[in-house]
Amino acid sequence: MRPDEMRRHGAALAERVRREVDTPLRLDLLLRRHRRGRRLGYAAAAVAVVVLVLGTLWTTAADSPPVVIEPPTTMPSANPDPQALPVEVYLALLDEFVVESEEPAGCTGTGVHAGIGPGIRVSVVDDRPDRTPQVVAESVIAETGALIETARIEELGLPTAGTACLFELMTTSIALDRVGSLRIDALPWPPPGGFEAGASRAGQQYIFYSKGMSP
Amino acid sequence: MAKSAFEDDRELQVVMASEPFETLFHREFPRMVAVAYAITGNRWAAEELAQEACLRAYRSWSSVSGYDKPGAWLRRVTINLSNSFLRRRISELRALERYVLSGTEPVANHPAEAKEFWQEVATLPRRQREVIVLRYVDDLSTSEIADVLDISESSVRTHLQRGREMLARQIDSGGPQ
Repeated sequence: MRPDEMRRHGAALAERVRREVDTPLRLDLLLRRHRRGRRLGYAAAAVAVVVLVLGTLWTTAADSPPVVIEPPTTMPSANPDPQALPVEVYLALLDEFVVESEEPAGCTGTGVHAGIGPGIRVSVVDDRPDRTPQVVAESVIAETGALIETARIEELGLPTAGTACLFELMTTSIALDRVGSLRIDALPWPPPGGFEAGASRAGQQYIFYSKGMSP
Repeated sequence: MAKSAFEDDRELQVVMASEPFETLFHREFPRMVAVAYAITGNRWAAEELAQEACLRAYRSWSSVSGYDKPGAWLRRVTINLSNSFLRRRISELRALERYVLSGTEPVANHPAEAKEFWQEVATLPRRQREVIVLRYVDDLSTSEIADVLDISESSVRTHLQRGREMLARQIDSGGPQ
């Protein structure tokens, strides 16, 4: 076989391919494929970012120490020994205690009892994943005595690993003398007479201290 | 002597560094398909391989367009992809033969015209096959082939000469020896 025959075969092949190939269509396909690949790339990147953020949040939540509510430093003589309070037990159960008032019961006293009464809804957040609302509610009741009744227990579905539930206070007292302190967010009303401890305007965060422990 | 299908736009092989990708694609894509077809013997795989090579060029166009000869880069990618395809295909068929098939399965579907010639081209050693295809299908000069394959011109001439001799010997004797 001579080189010119090879050249003829090669030219014939090239000519045939040139006739058959739809170059504009192929260019269109290439651009579509590129865009699709880019979209997939963006989607994968978005998923990676979400996973990263969630992982970071999860790690942060897992690493963060539990909320420890320190007893007030100045203790009245009525309760001279703060270490005797079962604060640790309680805090081991609950990380946060939030009270939202829908139907303010009015100020019935000073200190811890002020503003907490029947009809006030209490939401409790427990970060431990093995807790159900019922267990959390029962724990609170057990730790606070009979001062909270569970008119209903609802799962709030907070974005935490654990659970959260809602109580309705049926009594005018919560056993804060066994708790140490209670944080109340966004009370929609200034309690009449105000509080001796903490601010008294709605929208602020109120810190209530247990009876006899107000600073 | 037959005129190459691409001879008319031969001057376009001197590529401007900043040409749009579409221009390169329209000029080079059919050539790349022909090159891949001659190497793999598979018409439809050839289009896919050529498109894959062009897609890689497009994705890296900011770099590739700055090369002195983007066409040479594209040919090299096409040839590498074609060789990989051929190697994979041969391995698959050998495995199939070993476990399933009693006879031999054709590895490729060479062009009907001059089928014997292309079958013999496929049996050449890799470098000789690449040189023969670039010379006779893509109608490149010795120096252009040297650029594409990143070898010296004298090596190109040697491979070309040996490839021609082997092809002539095989075809004249009716098959590979």
